[in-house]
Amino acid sequence: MMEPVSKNLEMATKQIKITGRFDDIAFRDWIFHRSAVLGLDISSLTYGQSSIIFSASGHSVLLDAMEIACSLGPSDAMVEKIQATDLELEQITHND
Amino acid sequence: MMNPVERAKQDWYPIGIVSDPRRPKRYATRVLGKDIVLETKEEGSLSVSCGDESWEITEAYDHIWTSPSQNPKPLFSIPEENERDRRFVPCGVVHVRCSPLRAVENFLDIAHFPFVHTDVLGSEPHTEVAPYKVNIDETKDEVIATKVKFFQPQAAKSANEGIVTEYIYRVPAPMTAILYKTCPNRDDVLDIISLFVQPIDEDNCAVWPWMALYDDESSMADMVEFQQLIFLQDRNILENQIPKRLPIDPKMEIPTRADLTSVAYRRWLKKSGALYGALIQPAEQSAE
Repeated sequence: MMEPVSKNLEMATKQIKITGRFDDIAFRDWIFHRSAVLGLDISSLTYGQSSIIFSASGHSVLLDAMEIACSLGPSDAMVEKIQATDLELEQITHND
Repeated sequence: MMNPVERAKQDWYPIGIVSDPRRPKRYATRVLGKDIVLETKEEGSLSVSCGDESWEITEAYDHIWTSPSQNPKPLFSIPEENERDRRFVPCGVVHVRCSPLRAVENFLDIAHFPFVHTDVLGSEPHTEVAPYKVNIDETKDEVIATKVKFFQPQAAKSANEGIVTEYIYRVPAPMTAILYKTCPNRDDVLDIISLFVQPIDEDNCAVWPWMALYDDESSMADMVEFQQLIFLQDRNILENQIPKRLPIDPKMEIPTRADLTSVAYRRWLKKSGALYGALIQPAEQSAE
């Protein structure tokens, strides 16, 4: 019988602030779609005409991918600045 | 935002090698979906026409360049062309059935080296791309990636063994990428490999690689063959990418830190409206 493989999965929560020129509602919908693709949980999201701030939780590598995807955004969005802040970090041990 | 075709007309595009003895007196080709003719007159002067229109023409970096605009943007600069002890190597042309922007983006992608250029530009298990820096230089209006490091089993024709190669990438025009990389023979200079892309249309391009190397040993034929081998390996990948055009929204892909140059390139294209050959999805589709 094989020994269970133990993997350390680094879970994290990030707050991401996006500023630029974009359709805020279209960008909001895009964020929800993208986070679903990456398996991230969105805990809060506020938006205005030139900025969106949201918090997302999940595997740190996928949070990183979310941040990079947001720096491009939807086709017609022009992201001028993106700031990502780690809100909390916890290590969990996962047995397959 | 400017229409992508009108924006694309402002740039210069390569259509031939200056010293190509095989080019016919009237050489027909296409740029931006238009049929053009490069004519070499008896006295050796060159002209480009598109129907009744006369297009601008210039020579630089061993290539002939043309632009449909009567007032094109200045051609980008490669100052190292003045270093006369370099060897300047035009590597011919490779036709690829992909968007011209896809060809440039592929050139900027380091992560594919171990899998596509196995045992030459990369090898397993050395697949990790270390963190590097990417900026959009607002003054020069170009993308710059620095401190890119990667283990390469054979970084150049002149390399005898594997080395950790350092790369700098410049994208000074939407369809041009310039790579500065560790010179296997000297540690005080960088070799240059450029990719000049001729947009046949939005889904087809011709790639004209050009090198400026410090290599006194390899024959010209060997250096050209080495570079063509690399690019032919890329062609198989490029022609099978879906979609054929470069997506500006990363909907169908999951870019990571290793793809920062590609992401910066796409941001820069979007910002400058240089979207000829790009796939642009309306916002409502991009969130589906």
